[in-house]
Amino acid sequence: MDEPLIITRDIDIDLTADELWSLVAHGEGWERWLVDDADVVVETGASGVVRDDGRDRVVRIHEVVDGERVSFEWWPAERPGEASAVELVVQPATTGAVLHVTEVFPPQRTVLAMAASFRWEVRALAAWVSAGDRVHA
Amino acid sequence: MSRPARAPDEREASGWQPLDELFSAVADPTRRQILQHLVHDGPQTATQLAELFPLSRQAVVKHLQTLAAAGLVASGRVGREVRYRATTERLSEAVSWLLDASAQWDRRADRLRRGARPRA
Repeated sequence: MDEPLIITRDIDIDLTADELWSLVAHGEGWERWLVDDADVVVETGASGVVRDDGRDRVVRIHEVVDGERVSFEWWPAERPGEASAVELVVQPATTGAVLHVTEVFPPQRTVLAMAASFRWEVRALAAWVSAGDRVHA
Repeated sequence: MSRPARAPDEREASGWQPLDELFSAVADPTRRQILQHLVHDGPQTATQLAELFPLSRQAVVKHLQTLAAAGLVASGRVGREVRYRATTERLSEAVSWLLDASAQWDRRADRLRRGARPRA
């Protein structure tokens, strides 16, 4: 896998762009949807820690363009080599607003993340197949 | 997690498929959800799956065919039923990781749409 892995989402939401921006531009806003807890000041160059899906992640704010976009890097606190870059872009829409989300995983770090994440599902599958094979045998 | 015995005429996914086909297959949120149901709940028919989604049975079958073409799902006939199951061969750590990373954004989008109102 030599290409970076990019995940994108365009989220249409029934809020004004200003309302949506308030959920993107503040740690308190992040806690409403992005992460469980956020101890971070969303300002260019700032760093902080968020709790995401039960795990701490370090966040470094790369850039804040007022009313438009926030970009940051974040990584699992115990695995600093697995940083990914996230950009959140707020745009007004005909009705409401749209949040464009992009998360980019560099290729090398994607491989590292593969090795470390969600082994439980693979283990569950292995147990499932093993059980099926015993029945079939 | 229990799993029924395989039917004798079950077709197995085999052979190598390119990764881009695999990633294309799981790029669709509905297909990811179908795959997750098969992973977590075991083999199901297209009719059973269609009850879980606002889709016709035919639409579900089409998604299943795409997943099967990518080697992520295999089908087997049990009596008059065709049952689909997730295949482990292609459900590598890469896919599990991708599903998780992608699903996290789906969950965040849901939270944003459903509950997030800015505080006054």
